[in-house]
Amino acid sequence: MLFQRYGPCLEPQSSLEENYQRTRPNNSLRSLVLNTRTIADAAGSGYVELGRTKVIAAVYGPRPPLRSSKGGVENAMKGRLTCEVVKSAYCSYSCESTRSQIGKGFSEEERLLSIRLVRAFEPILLLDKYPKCSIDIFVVLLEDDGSAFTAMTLATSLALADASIELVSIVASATVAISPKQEYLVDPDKTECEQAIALITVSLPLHATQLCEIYHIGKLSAEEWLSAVQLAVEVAQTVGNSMCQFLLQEMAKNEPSNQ
Amino acid sequence: MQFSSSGDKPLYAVPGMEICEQGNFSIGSGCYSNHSKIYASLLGRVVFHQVDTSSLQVCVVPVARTTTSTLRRSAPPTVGDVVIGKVFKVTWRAVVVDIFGTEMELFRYPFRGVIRLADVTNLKTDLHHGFRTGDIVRAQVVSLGDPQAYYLSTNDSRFGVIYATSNAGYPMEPCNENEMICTKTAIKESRKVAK
Repeated sequence: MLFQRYGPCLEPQSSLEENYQRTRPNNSLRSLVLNTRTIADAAGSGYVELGRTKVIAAVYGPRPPLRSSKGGVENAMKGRLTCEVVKSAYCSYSCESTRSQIGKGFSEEERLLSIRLVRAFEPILLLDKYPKCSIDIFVVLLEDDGSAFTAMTLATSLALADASIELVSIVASATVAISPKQEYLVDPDKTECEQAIALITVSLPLHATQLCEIYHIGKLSAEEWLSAVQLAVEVAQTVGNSMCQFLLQEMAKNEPSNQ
Repeated sequence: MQFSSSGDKPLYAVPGMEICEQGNFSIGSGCYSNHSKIYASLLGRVVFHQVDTSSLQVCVVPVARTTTSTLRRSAPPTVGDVVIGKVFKVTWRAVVVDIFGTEMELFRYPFRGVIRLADVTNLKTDLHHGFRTGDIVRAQVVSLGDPQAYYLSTNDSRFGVIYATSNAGYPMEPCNENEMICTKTAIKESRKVAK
């Protein structure tokens, strides 16, 4: 068990650990909902639902940096990427609260998610084209039913493409959990994540040959790790193709018909 | 001359999508090249511009949005833009300006610009005789400048103060290149006036 739960447990009966059964095949994703332009004020925004996990991302920029960065002229000649991830107060199903003090600053988990997003997207944005500017990403996790970071990466990708920020490629992501029975479960939900002995999240830019992030928690042998990563990469490719199709359809819909 | 790809259906591009081989194409906005292939970096329509008789330029033009974010320009000023700003501070060697727009449209976020002593012509005396805090000036961006501000210049007769209020608090009108006259009290004050 990766995570131990303490405290009162008020989830619905069906997701208690002992009675849990995965209803879909091991290889299949949950239903994916994608949407852009959900936030009118932002330069770009994206909304993703992976099953019951819901994430919304907004991108502002390029705009002058809110906090002046140190580091002199060379750093200023390249754009800067900042990210703030917030887990909404109602995002988890149990009533334990991961914040030490509600409403004060960012919790450690949120800061970790923000850093991961920045590190994953920094090589993807063509920041050289935005000197002295800052591109700010704000992500809110509305409901967490497993694979939250996957949904965040997808939402941020949609938001960046929607904001017309120059990217090397669209980024897709997938999570694979290894259950105690040594099965590879694609796109695990919350109970599966907590029961798993290992979790691997992979983010890959679709049209490039390298991954931009691998996140691994748990204990795996080298062959298991390799096959889990390969499976995650395949799943991410399919998700990414759906995202590209969605973006092309949205563009065709929004183009004025006389062009 | 501008034409889309063959056929009547426009070619849409997703970031990372391969558009074509490098060949004779030059790269415009919204694309990048890698290993002699041209890829799109923006979400939009692929457009080929005829630059001169032999070469074509590939651009990806983002689809226009009609939301609040297009009421103002979000892209920062580039070198050569003529911008309008309000003087925020005058020191002995520079005038600091809050740039809020170009002549055509306003910026979504205000930028900081600086007119240095060398970039203001005809002024043998100090900058206080050319600009005062609160004046609206028209200037041209000469460089990206330092991390704090863009560098501006009022080196031409077109550039300089376009609106100012006098010490008495009333708006002033230009009377010649170096002076403005208050509309209420008829007192002249010296400014670097734009034509």
